[in-house]
Parts: sequence; structure tokens; C-alpha cells
Amino acid sequence: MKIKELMQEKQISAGDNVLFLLKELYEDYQRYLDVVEAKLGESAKMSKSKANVVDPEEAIERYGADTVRLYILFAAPPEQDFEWTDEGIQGAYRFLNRFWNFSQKVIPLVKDVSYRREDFKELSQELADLRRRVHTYYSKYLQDMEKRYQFNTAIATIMEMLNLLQGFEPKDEEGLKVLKEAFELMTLMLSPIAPHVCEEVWSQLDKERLIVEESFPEVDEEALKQDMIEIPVQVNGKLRAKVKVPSDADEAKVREIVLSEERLRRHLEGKSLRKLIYVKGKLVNLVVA
Amino acid sequence: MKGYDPKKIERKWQTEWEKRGVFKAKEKAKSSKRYVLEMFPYPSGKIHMGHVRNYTIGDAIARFLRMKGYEVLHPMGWDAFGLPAENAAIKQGIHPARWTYRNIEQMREQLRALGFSYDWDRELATCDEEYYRWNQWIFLQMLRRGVAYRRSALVNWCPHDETVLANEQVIEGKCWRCGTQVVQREIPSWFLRITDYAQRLLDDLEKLKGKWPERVVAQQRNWIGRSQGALLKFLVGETPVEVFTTRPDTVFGATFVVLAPEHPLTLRLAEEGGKEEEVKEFLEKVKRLSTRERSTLRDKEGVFLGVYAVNPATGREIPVWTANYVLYEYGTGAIMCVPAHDQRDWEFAKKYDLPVIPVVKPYQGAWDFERGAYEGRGRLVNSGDFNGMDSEEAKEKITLWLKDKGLGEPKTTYRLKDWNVSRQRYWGTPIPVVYCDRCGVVPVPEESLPVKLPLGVEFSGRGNPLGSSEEFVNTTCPKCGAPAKRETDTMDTFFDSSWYFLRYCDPKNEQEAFSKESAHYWMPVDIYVGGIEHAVLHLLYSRFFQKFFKDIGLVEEDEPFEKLITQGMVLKKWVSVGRLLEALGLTEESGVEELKSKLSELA
Repeated sequence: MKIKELMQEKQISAGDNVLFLLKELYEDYQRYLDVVEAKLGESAKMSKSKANVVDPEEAIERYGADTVRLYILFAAPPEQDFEWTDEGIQGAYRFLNRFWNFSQKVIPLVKDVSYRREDFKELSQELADLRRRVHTYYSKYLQDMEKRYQFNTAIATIMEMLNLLQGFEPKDEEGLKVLKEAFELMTLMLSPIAPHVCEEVWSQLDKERLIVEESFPEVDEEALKQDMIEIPVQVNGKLRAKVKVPSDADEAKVREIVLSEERLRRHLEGKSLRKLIYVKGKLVNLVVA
Repeated sequence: MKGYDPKKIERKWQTEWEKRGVFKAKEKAKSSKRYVLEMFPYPSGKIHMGHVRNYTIGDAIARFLRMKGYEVLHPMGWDAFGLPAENAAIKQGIHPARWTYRNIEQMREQLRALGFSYDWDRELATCDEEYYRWNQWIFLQMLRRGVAYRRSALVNWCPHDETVLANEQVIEGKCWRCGTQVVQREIPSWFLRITDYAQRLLDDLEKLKGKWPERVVAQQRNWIGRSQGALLKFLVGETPVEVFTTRPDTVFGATFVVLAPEHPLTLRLAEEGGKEEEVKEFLEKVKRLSTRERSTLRDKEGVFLGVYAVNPATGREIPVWTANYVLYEYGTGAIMCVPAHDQRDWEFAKKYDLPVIPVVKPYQGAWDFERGAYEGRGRLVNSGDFNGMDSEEAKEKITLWLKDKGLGEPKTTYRLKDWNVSRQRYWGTPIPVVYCDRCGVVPVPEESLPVKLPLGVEFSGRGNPLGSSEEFVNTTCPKCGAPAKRETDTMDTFFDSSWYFLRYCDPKNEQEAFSKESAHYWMPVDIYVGGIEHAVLHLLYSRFFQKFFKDIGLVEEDEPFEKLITQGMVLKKWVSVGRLLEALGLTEESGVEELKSKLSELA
């Protein structure tokens, strides 16, 4: 039998999706379709005529609304086109499973723990470091969401945060407090994106209010400052002051801090700055004349 | 430990949110409000992935802002009038209203399953009487102020849908809905004078810079299409022929004038020139062409009218023609032709052996006018006292010189045309006007609104079903009480969507379209999310309505949408049968077994 005859019999035309032809040839046509699409597939807007439509109802039925929402927002920034793939939606589904499983492990541990920001003033280096990273993520998330509507990077931040928390083993009450704060923040962050699962988790924390009625707390600037380091500043080789800078600050940032330092002003007055040398984490030397 | 069970969780919380009414928006302090809106859908009956993406983006923003402490308005509704409902009535015999409301029910459930944080108390459908009565009210306000008017005009007509289309709804000469070639027809229609707002619509684009995608701003600017030039008079005896040109610097090189075939002077001058018969025959031929064919003509054709006009700059007589490449709808419907400096004129001049007189010399090099027109900048020649002047500078100087002689004036024109809102269709808002033999066109009094759509009409698939409803058409004149006929045109559905965002501010108001206070509280829409395909249609019309409302004191903001996000498309891989065969080196003539063996190699 010629291909043409089969096509005529089954009313398939050359412009139709190859799916219809493969269905006539194989029981397990999906296997062949996957290969053909992987090798020859072209990206096109979903349309009935191309039979490349993903039905939202089916996707929700299979993975749930939270997964569909998460996937759509994670796949690309709002203005860009993106190609729907099975791997993509499955990845989103796996992430929510991971978040869920983690929540079921953490909630029994932290449910009865209470904390206030004042409790975090005298943390060990390890815990202070964890808090700094958590609040750094949180602050980046807020910017991505509010200023640029970049949900994809906001979600990537939440994913990194989950990785971080999964690797953390609280050893004492302080650790549990830090964990609880971080877990709550992460749940708040995820809730505009995957609202149902977050509401469920929130209720398991025995919260009085629904998560949709909660407000985002302020970023804890103190937590961000935890890793300030003190470095000596020399003017023409002589030690004149010590300043605090963030440990990961680049030269531009250090320059800004040093030049605004009151105690160094008189050493610079009437002179011009020829050069600023920053030995990362160790020393600043100003060459003036 | 329990496994993740989205089905259970999602239903549960959707019900709980609804029960507790957590998404109901309340008017509090102005500084803390945010209005997040997604373009409302047409109720086709089924949401697609494009909707899901659009609404998910909006919902994430709304939920985020709510948790940032803002009072958020996040409503949803239905752009519910339009042709598909009428087509369903024709094909399936189901009434458009039933079809539409059934679809709304289904789609509402689909949206609910996605957990969107809408204030469902504010839901509206544009086909609700409580909504479209305000369409009619707005129309009456426009009519009273001369913003709405009726005239007979050449319009875009879709022979398939049997309706008039706005310029914006003609895509590459075809109907935006069904793809049928659009033709020109003369029909009395209702227009909105959006051209009165052209300059404001253009100027205020500045306010949107950095907040709207550049592409959308550029498309609107281009659509409004402001061009500066001059209106010049070419006298045929006592009769002035007015032409608009953006190149008054080249007027010394105008060697003929062309009128559009539809120009009212065309036949009159042809009679004067003794060319009546030839011209009539030519006009008949042109009528059979669509706008698209007219504007992309390869072969420019024309007929000499037998009369001459005086070039206002040189005082010399030049012939007057009519030609198929000049459209009556643009400019004044007449052009001065400078074949040396306009390629279209050049082609026409070559074909009919009309003189080519260069008046602009390129700054560098020589130009061979035998090979084509020089459209660039240069130094004026053959231009009397203006010889040697820079052509850009000469634009204004020559215009003012002609103005002194009473033969010209500076003029700004726009590509934007008035908006034809008449549709010869049933499933839309009836235009609230009555025709009385004695009183003429009479607006329906506000207290008689709404003019309701009658339910018992026939859907034959041809013409306007409203016209077939005796009980609808026959009425009495609101002024004199004599028997009168109702307008049977309904409104373009883009009218409905040009102000729905204002109705959401105050959706239950029975006395007004919306209260000033509510509009003042919620407007502008802080973040609007929708498709790029609305760059000039919906988004331009809404800006126009907002400005009209501002003029009549109903709103305070100049612009309705502060920040605009145009979301991208959702794509999916696919392979056509043809592509597979080609890639495998087969044709349709090959055997099925051969195909199978090649496929198994591939897999």
C-alpha cells in the first residue's frame, strides 16, 4: 500500500500533524512520536489545526493547578514566548513534591518553636551565615517580583533556598528558630505562585490567619550585615582608620565606603586621590598627593 | 508522612477562600491601592493555554501585592458580545444568549480550578443588560457632544460576515475574523470622532514610555501616523483642487495632478473636459477592486480628465488625471505629482509620457532621472527664488510663500481615521437611536434605556437578524410620538471593552456607568496584562474613551493603564506529515512498509 492511499483512506493531509499517521501505523505510536518530535520538531503557537494543543484542564487534572502555574511562570519571563514540554511540567511537579516532602519533615520539628527577630542577635557563625543567605535570597526575590515581574528568577531563588534548607541540620533551639523563620519565609515567597500548597502548609503550622491574609515581613537588614568585615585603611602607607565592608564587596563598593568615612576626610583634604588599592578582605591603601 | 495530593488540597482551599471572601476589594486609603487587570476573555467555552498564562501572570502579581499590604482590585469578566455566538445560532440553532451564558458557566469553573484570586462579586458580562445599557448611555453622551455622528461613507465590507469592519480590523486587506477579502461599499454608518483626539493620543504616549513595551508605543505612534506638510490649491479655472503633500519643497516639479476615482470633482471635471465616457468606464473598473488590491497595484492606471490646473508655484498649466493608485480615504483624495521625486508618480509619468522636471539636486553625485525618482534631501534647482536652498528648509519657506499668495497653508494630518462602530449584526449593543420621518434622527432618551435586544429573532445566516424583528424595529418617535423605526445597527464589540475596567470599579451601580468616587479611587489600572495583538485596537480605543470621560468630568486620569505587560505565546513542538516524509527521503508515492522500516531505524 502506498502512503498516499493510506492518507486518503484516513483523510490525512500532508499539512496535518504526523501524529495522525503514526496512530494508524503503531499501537505504541507515542514512542515514535516522541522520537520524531525530538528530531524534527518545530516550535509553533498552539493551534487546533496543528494538533499541538495542550489542554489546560488535562494538565490540571494530571499535575494540579499549582504545578501548571509554577511551570508557566518558571518557563520564561512574561514577555517571552516559551515552548511547553513534558520535561518542563514534570520538573515543576517534582519541585512541588520536594517542597511538600520537606514541609512534612520540618513542620513537626518547628511547629511549637516560636521566634522573634531579637532572638537572632547573638547567633553562632554558622547560623548567622545561614540567616544572611536566607535574607539575601528573600531580598532578591522581592526585587524580582515587584520591580521587574521576573517570576522565573524569583522561582529559581526559591529553589536555591530549598536546596540550602534541605542541607541544614538544626542542632539546638537556636537552629530550629532559624529554620522556622527560613521555612516560613520560603512558604510566603512561593504562595503567590503556588497558592494552594502553601496555604495547606501554612495551616499545618497552626497559623491563625490564612497565608493570603499574611503580609511579607521586612527584609532583616541586620541579618544581611552579619558578614561585614573590618579592614585597615592606609593613606600613603600609614594606617589611618579601620572600616567595615561587606565581605563580598567589590572595589567600587569599598571605594564608596572608604571615601565617605569621616575619619579619613582630613587626610584627603586638599589633596587629590591618585590611586586606590584594595586587597580583597585584607587592606585598602590610598595613594594621595 | 502524607504524599503530595494536589487534587485534595486545591479544591479545599478554593472553597475556603471563596467562603471567607478573602479577595473582595474594599476602598480604603488611595495610596495603598493597586488595580491589577488581565484582558477579559471572549467566552468561547473553553480556556486555552494562552489564557492560563495571561491570568497566571496577573494572579501572581495580584497575590504578591496583596501580601505586600496593598488593597488589591483583581476582577474578572466576559467580553461576551460578538460573532461566534451568532454563528452558533445559525449552525446549531441555539440562541446566542444561551450559548454565551452556558460558555461563561463552563469557563468560570475552569478559572476557579486554577485558584485565581478574583473578586467574583465584580464579575460582569458585556452582554448583560446592566452593562450594555451604559454602552448606550456613553454613546448618547458622545452623540450629544458630536463625538458620535452618522455619515454615509465608503467602508470596509466583509462579504462573508456581511458586516462593516473598522480599519484596524482589516489585516492585509482581509477580514480579521474570517480572512475573507474585504471590499469597499457605501453604507450609512455611525462613527466616533477619534481623530479629534489624535494629537492627545499621540502626545500622551510620552507618559507611557518606560511603562509600556516600546513596541506597543511605537505601533500606536505609527497607527496615529502624524505627518506634517502643506495643503496646496491647484486651480482648475475657478475650481480649487486641494492636495495635501509632505513635500511642498518639490512643488515646482509638480507636472500633473491626480484625483482619486471617488473624488466628487472627478466626474464633474471630466464632464468639463469632455472625457465623461472614458472616465465613467474607468470608475466602474476601479470599483471592482478591494482596498488591498488598490494599494498594492503593480500596474498603475489612469485617465486624463481633459482639463488643466495651475501649479501654484510656477503658474504653469498642468494636466489633471484620475488614477487607481490614489485613495480617496487618505489625505484630501487628490495629489500633486512630482515624478522626479516620488517613485510612484515617476512610474505613472513614464507610462503615460508625462514630463519629469528635477527640482532637488543631491548634495553628492549626479542622479539619473531616467532610471527613477530621487526621494532624498538636496539643494533646490528649477525653483525660482528658492534655487540653492536646502530642501528641508524649503518645506516651510515655500509653504509660507504660497500662504501669502492665498494658495496654501501648513497642515498636519493623521493616518488615524474616525472609528466606524456600526455593525450589521444581532449579538451586540443596539445603537440607541430612532428614525422618524418628521424629526429625523432622534436619540433614545436616557430614561428609556436600555434599548433591549429582542430575543425572538431569526438567524438565517444572511444580513442583520435585528432587521427581521418587527417588534424591535417598529417604535414611536420619542419627540413627536409618530410611528418611527429603530436603528438596527449594533455596536462594534470593541466599544464594550473600551471602558469595562471602569465598570469594575463600581459594577453594581444602577444609577451611573460608574461613580466618580470609585473610579477616582481605583484608577488607573496599575498593571494590565494581555496579548500584543491588542497593541492598536483595544489599547488605543480604551485610551480614547478615557480621554472622553476626562473631558466630561467622569475620570481624573489622562491614561487608563499605568503599566502594561504583553505576555508571550505558549508554543509546542509539532511535525507535519509532509515534513516527516521529506526528512526520511520519501514521498506520498512511497510504500507504507518502507515508511515503517525507516521509522524503526529512527527510533
